[in-house]
Amino acid sequence: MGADSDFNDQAKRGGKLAVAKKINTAIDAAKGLPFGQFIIKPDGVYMTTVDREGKPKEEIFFCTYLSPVGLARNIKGADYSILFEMKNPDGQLVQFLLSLESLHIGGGEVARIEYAKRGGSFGAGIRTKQAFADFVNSIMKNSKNLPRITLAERTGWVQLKGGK
Amino acid sequence: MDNDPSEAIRTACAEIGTTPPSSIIFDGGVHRYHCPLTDKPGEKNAWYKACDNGDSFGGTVGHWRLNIKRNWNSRSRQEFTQAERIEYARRMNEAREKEQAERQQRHATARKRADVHFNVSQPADPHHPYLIKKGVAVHGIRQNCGTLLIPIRNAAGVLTSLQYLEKDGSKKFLYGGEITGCYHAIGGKPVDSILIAEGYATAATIFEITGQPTACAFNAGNLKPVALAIRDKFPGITIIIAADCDPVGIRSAEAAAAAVGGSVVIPDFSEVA
Repeated sequence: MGADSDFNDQAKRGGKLAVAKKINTAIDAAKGLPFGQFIIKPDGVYMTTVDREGKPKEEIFFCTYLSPVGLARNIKGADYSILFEMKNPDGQLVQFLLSLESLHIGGGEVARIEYAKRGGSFGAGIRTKQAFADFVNSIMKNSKNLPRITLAERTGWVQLKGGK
Repeated sequence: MDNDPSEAIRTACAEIGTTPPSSIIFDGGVHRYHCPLTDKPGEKNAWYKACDNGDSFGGTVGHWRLNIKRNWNSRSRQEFTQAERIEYARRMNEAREKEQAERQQRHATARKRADVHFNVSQPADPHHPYLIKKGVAVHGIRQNCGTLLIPIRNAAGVLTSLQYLEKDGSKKFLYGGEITGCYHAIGGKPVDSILIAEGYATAATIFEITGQPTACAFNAGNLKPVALAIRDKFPGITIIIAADCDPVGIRSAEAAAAAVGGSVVIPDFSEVA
């Protein structure tokens, strides 16, 4: 057992600001990152339902942890994809690229299979067919602040569209 | 299979991740000891109970901080006849019921003593050496002579026990007091989130720095029962477990978070000079 082990030790050694940053980040993450009617939390994605007055009523577990890392496209500015981070059944964080095209193949079935193949699962009773597409579309709709990623076919310098 | 009690107790200890002491006292009482694998220096969180049943040796091993225990017997299950198994189960059941009744009695006595101790004490001195050393303020705690008294309450707000903190940082609980699922709340009623930490100084530090309501669960083994009690009381809030950065602390925090759909935050010493 080392001498330094808790947040009191960290505050004394590393300063209060570091502790505040660490804990406030954890609180924000735990409260969840909202995308439309979906909230991404550390233990999974939840769907919020609203009452007749439009106020949040309850959160229903939608699927295991799945969070966007960035919005990706090729050097021509086409073939958009979302780079997702997900937690597999072994508890490991893994990344995968979900093509937006796959949302429209077989009514979104291809996209759901890509997620399920990597160990992702959905909540009981969830109508995943429509809801998964809604989740991805919510991310797209609120993607203004997502980092942009350019997919290159090979290593080296590439000319991006617009000359930048 | 022989009837060697030391082998049986060693196996039971291994199953819960502890090591037994070199000599065992077979008197049916609880004996605490320091386990170098799981205890911090000076702590005695590991315990055992050993009885001589006449035809075999048996008892329980456990660890307060991990909140786990395991029964053991020097005779393997295969050696018992059906009738012996039924008789053994009956005796164990009887012992369990007796122990529960005794525990409830101890809890009731401790509640009264906690009330008396807490009411005759004075407001804690902010310049108490422990508070100065830890750099934290007074949050609902009191003092009797040089000893700080941390109240331990259940989710209904009933004072169930006390933790005594000495000037040198040594800690003791009121004998027989109920601690499982009980905590010391700092920062008032939570609005949308609450943090749960192990010790008073950690909980006070978190509250003072972030302003977030924080509960002190007193040990790693109590994180999960406290998290469950808080989830029961405040179903809609976000629960974050502020883990101690050691294997027991992290494992217990993760178990607590998983039980209530919460998350874990661990102190980071990597950037500390």
